[in-house]
Amino acid sequence: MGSVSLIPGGKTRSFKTDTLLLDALLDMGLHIQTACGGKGICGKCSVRAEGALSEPDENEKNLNVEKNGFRLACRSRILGDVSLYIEENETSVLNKALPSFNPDDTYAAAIDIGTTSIVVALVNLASKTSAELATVMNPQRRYGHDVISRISSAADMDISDTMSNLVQDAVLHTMSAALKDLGIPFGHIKRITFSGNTTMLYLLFGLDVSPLGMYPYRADHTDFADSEIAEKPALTGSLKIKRVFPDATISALPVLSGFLGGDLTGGLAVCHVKGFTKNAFFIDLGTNGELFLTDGRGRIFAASCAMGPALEGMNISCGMTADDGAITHVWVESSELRYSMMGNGSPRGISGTAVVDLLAIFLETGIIRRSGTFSRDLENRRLPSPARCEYTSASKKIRLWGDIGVTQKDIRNVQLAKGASLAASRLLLGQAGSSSEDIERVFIAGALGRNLSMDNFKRLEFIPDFPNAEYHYLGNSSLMAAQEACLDETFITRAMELRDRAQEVNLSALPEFNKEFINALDFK
Amino acid sequence: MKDAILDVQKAIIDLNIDDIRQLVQTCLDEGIEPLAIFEDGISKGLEMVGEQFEDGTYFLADLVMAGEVVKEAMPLLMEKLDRESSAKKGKVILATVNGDIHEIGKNIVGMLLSVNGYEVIDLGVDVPPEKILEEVKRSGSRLVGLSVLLSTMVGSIKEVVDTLTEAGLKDKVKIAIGGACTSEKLKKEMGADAYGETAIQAVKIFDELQASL
Repeated sequence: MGSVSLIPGGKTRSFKTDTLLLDALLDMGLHIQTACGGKGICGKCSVRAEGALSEPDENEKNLNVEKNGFRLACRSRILGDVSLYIEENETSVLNKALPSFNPDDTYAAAIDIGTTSIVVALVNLASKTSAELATVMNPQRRYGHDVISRISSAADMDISDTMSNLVQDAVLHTMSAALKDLGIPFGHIKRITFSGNTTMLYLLFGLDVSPLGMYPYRADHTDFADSEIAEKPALTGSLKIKRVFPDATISALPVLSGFLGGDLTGGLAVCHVKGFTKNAFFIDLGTNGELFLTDGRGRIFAASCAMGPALEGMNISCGMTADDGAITHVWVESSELRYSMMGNGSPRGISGTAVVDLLAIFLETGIIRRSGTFSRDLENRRLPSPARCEYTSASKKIRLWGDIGVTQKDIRNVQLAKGASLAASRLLLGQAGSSSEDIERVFIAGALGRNLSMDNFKRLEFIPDFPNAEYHYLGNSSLMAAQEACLDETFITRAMELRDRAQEVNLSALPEFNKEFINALDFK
Repeated sequence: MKDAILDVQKAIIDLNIDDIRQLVQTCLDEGIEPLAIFEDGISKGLEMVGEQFEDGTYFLADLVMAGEVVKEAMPLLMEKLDRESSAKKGKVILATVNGDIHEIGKNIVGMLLSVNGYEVIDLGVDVPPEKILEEVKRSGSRLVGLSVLLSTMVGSIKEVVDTLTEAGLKDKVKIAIGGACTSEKLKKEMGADAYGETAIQAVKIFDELQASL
């Protein structure tokens, strides 16, 4: 066993030896940023630490944080007693620049439980305005970074319970800290609406996730309207949130199946509310991509595809989320590469939008071929400065700024993502009997930020070209829908009706899936 | 090594489907032994394709293409190889386990095994353990390859092992596992006999399992 003590606050808690310092801090209710997802490149989780911690690894040494007694929480493991110098009250969870909230008004909370992060938004029921309060890491991440590994871990009932508690604690901690900061009494929260993928909602409500991870990925429990939850004491019984907010009705967006959750039903409902009920194509880009299309008669076809976390920057060697230190956009100007980034100083990594830009530039300048392979003669070619190729026997890399670069493997991971979404889109069009010319509106939701260059996104062909369509970037459709549901009591019922009309197509079971997928890996 | 064999090897590495047939024919015309053409030309070429796959130079589509190139060349050699090599290699049963339907890796393994002289019985995806047992009994095959991608379904490997054990066949049959979520550690936990990290290793693994029977 070991322990973590916070100085000067004095809070102490014991942990098992070998616990990641980051997990310990999340458990203690601290808000720690991890833009690179624990790769040890962004340096955002550095804390001043003393005591028995594992030796710094290469990444920590490269970042040079340790010289002043700082350590990366995402790379250090607890070996014994550890003291950390952290001002607890400095770690306010609130986003900066919030609108002012009148403490006398009544409110609702819209909470999007993502596999990676949890976003909490506060909705003013009087003024009908809403604002994102905070984004915190999903503390379940120690049980795996994707839903499949969480489902595997949940086979152990104790871990399943722990995951349910962890996510509820994270939500409660974030909400209570935020409400206290804003001076809003807990009793003024009248509604709490959750959204998330099916696995996240199942874990939140303490349902058995095992059928979700097994072909045909069936979800027996698909409705989470407040009446539904009230009728099933098993669901609310486990819900600590209900005990802290007894005046709030609790509900969640419906899901369609194991891999079609709140991103899809939320996107479906939002598009319909906006009046786009025909010839529309929607895709939520995430580790699990969710897509639907509506044909000319308004029929709805839905499907999911496994994209992996490339666009969230997670399986990209220098990838990170769009956060301080991240390059978010890259372009060529007088044969030089230029970038814009978040925050100041030297860039630490690249976000998904910049990955899209870079690959499009690599294709245009012939650095990579259509097959995604680095061109053969790069050593002898003039590349847009400061790009230079670094070939070692083990790997090939285009180095850009400082340590930041793109490896052949990074490109392969983007190809796996785009191959999956492109193949899924084409197959879904085929199953619906629609053609890409029929589509009038394309909605893109999900992990990528608003910095997404639509031209570069189209260049990489994540989805087919829709020649007659207007493209829209929606953002986080799941959170957006939860916010709508806070304001409009009929929203969840409508989402359920639309969900019932949607026909799910299990693409990976189609005989042509593999061929279509392999064909979709190349760039055009 | 003769230039003509090196040309065959190069054609495999370069995924040159147009010229492979002619290059193999040239070898035969020069009187090179079919077995040498296969081992030093085709097998060696495939091995190098595998190396390029591992360092990221080649990708999934390239592996599929390499298989096509080899398939193009094989008819010229097959007949003569059959006559020469005393016996063909054994039968291998391949399946993606119960609860999982991912099969790209399994198909590539199947292709590599069959061009290397194995008779491949592919049971497809989402295959229940009973079906594997039935096929072992029916075909007399003593080699089984199980593919699993979803980490949620690794338990299905154990089910196959248990089913074979209950039928008293476990000692007679060797099981190799592969797929994104598998590992040497998982092999031990599940009681399988071999683990392959990439499809390219499959031939070597089954050769060794065959020899150990």
